[in-house]
Amino acid sequence: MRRAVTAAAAALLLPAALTACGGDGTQQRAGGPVEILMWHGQEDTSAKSIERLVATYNQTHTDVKVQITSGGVTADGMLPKITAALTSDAHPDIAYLYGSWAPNIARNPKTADLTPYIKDPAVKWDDFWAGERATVTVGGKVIGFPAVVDNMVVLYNKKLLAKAGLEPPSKDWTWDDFRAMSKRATDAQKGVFGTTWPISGGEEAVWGLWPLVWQAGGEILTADNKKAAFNSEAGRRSLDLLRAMAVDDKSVYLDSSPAEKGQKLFESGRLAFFLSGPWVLPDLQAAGVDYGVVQLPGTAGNHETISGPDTWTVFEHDERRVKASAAFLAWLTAPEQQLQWMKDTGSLPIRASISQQPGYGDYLKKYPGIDVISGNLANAKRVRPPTTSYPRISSFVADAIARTLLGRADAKSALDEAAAKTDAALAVPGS
Amino acid sequence: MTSTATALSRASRHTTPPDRRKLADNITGWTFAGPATLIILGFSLVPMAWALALSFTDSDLMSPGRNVGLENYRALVADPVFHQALRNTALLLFLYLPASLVAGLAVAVLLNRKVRGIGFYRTCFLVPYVASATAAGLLMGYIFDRDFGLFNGMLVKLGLPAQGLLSSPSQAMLVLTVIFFWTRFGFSVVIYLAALQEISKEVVEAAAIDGAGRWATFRHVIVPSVRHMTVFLAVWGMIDVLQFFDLVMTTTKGGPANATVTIVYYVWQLAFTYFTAGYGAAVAYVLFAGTLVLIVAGLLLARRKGAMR
Amino acid sequence: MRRRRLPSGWHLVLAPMSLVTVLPFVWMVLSSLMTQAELNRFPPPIWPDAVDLGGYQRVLEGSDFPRWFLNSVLVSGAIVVAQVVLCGMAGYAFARIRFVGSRLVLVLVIATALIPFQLTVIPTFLIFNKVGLTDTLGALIVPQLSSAVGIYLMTSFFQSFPKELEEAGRIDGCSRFAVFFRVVLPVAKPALAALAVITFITAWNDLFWPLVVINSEAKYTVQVGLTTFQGQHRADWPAVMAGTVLTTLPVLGVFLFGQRRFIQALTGAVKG
Repeated sequence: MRRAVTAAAAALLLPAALTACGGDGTQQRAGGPVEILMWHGQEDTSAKSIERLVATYNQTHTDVKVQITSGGVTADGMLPKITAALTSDAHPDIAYLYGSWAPNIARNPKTADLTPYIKDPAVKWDDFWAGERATVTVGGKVIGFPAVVDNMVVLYNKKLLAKAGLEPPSKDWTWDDFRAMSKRATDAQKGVFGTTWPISGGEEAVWGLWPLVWQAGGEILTADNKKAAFNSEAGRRSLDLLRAMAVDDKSVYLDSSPAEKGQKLFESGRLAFFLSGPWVLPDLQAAGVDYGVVQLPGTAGNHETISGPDTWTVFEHDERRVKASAAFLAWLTAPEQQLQWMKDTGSLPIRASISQQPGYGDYLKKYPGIDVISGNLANAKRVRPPTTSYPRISSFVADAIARTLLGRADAKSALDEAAAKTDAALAVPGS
Repeated sequence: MTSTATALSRASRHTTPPDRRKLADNITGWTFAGPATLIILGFSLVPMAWALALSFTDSDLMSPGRNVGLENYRALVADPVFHQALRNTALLLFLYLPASLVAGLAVAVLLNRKVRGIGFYRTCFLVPYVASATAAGLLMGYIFDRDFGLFNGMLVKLGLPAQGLLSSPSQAMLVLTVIFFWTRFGFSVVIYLAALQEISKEVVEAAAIDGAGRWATFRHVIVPSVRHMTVFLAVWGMIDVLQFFDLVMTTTKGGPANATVTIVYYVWQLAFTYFTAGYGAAVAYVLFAGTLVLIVAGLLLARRKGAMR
Repeated sequence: MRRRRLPSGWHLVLAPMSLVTVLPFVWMVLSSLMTQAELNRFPPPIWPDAVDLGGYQRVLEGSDFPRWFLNSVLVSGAIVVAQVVLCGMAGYAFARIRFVGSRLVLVLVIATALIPFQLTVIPTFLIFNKVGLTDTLGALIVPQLSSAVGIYLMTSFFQSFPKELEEAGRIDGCSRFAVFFRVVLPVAKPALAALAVITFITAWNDLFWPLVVINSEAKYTVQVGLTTFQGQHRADWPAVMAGTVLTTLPVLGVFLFGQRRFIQALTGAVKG
């Protein structure tokens, strides 16, 4: 109802307003600015930053008007919303969506194909990191622009390590170092743990395992994405490391909450190590933690990490709006705007040329440790398999991880069981 | 509900000619009941039909699914997570329902007396009923944390071994049951309290004069007099349990190792995490049919028992 | 009877039990008054060293809380009024008037309470989008204008309602409507109050549907606001707790205020 009233009011007022500005008084028709809607799904400082950027865009561009709202949820809750919206043709033009959803989202006929637009040399598509480009390209179709890229690093509490008589980890530290130091730092009496691992059953429990598997020479699925490969020797070794830490050493706080208690514990000085990404840096600074950043512990000199690119996915209403969306996203993801966004939010550069921007040094200074995370992008070599079944597979592996870390199963049998379920899920045609 | 039929048969005592009366009753009846039922049925029948159709497809809600016939329902038989969700939900049902009825009545009896400050106690018991899932999840996540929670802290102080609680696959569902009980139990107390206040003192005192002990009075006077409310609470509680979702979302997200996945939570995961909405719809329909059978059976049983008295 | 003059025995039973049930709430309030440093001690202390209102200040300044609050009041209020009227009327009809299809419809209505909304949320959204109500407060109100639970409760109540009153009215020559509004409703006030309290609590605490159907921050309810606020201020626990207190207080107030009436009211709905 309210919307109807607003629409009626807008219909009455807009023509007058636009005529005054010399427009022809019609929206969405050739000649007038194309209006597009974006759901940003950002929180707090990031939301404010993106809103400022959009305001700047609207001031400097007359052909496209971008309307922006959060979408009513944070990024985690975006999937049900976009699903409902797509079913009802109520979808925005642009939405902030996790890269892991891309293979499924791309199946929707309303997902736009930006392939012709990214070929424009002004977009400098190749300037984006390869992993990001791969994520938004599904079956040869480009469904959006890279939005945010991150990767997994280890954050450590300097004070806790010093108290335990430990030197901060060097960048070539190993799995054994990680285990031994975590054990040393654990003090059950005082409620201090070496590190934490989520066991709540979602992807948050799973994605940290993959870099270990990759480092040990394993893969998640076979090359044709038809069968599980994570139950290899590499997989077993990786999960067994975590098991030994959680079960034998009792140096891991097992986090069963979706509220991410792990971060809270790290901030309150209860965790020596915390596997996370750049997004926690602003929080850590606010909490006044004396932290350091180091790349993941490696095995045989391999320190591979995982990165989870998020996307600005574009949905179709009509061709003009798709074109406008592409034009706006090309602007938003250009180095100048990105540097501003990075300074505001502590995000990582999503394209190579940003580091040549004049203000890049200020950004590095503002977020101590960001240089390490940024440099760690080079260790992000592989992505999670782009199959529509990945969310399901992730739930099988999450189950295996939880049971192993709780001492209910050994790494090998838990992974074998997850692999059997994975094979069955992948055997379903069309997946 | 149980006496709808009797109420209906009694309702038509009148003096006007039967046909006109009937027509008038039909018109008034529908005018009174129409708007409320129209809203409810309108918002459920259409979505239900949609979901039924969905359950025969392999739709992911992204692309138009293919028709797979009864394949989804067949897949249920062999799905271990579905079995676990069934077990989890059944556990919740069998623990929560009797507990809320027994404890609800017991506390209501305790509160149904004239003791100084009884109003204060009553308030204390009712207060958790207002807690939203967000608030309850947040608070209880702290209290029942394995390593830092107040509950384990207390156990340790008492010299008892700390428990796995929300981190333990064998205890997490029990803890959720306790939390659920905490938020809902006040409601049973209120309902029973209301019922108890209806029992006339004379009846209770007459029983006492007849030499009935306290327990006998409770068993033969109080329990039968609140029977109607017990049926009501059982139906209500069952609906509540079978729709148990929010707390799972705010405390454990179904973990650890699927220990707290309930059927509706599984439906949600299937539709919005795993992109298998067609299958999720089949699970929802099995839940719907199962509950309907349970409730109808329960009501019939209650009616037969009532008739025998 | 004399035994009851010596209440101490019951206090020994009741006091610890009620303490356990309210403890989480007490702690919620206490921790909302702590400083961040205090709450960062893990496990957090029971008592704050000193009362600190910083959490409340940050909630009220850092978010659109008053707005969300107003939205929740509007939505819950509208739902309460609608349900009291509509479910009251329907309950009366199902209990007292014999009309074609009444039993079938009543069973159907109650059966709808068993449908998992987690599934039907998509088609429901579709319907609301068709009529242009998505992202409006109207979308939060309309589906709850009436409820199966409310109809069930009211039907139970009116089944036990003394018939004599109505019959007296009827003999005076009043129509059904007149009897309902002049005779029945005033006497049913406590039962309607009970329905109002239950409905208010349910509506106020509803989270799932608002999360799906509301897109813009100006239309958040307190529950949606609290959820996003928790997401955003993971580190600021006093503020999160303060937000939780603020969302819980109104509903607590309504409940405490309506408590006596509530019990009275349900007393009527008991017999059958």
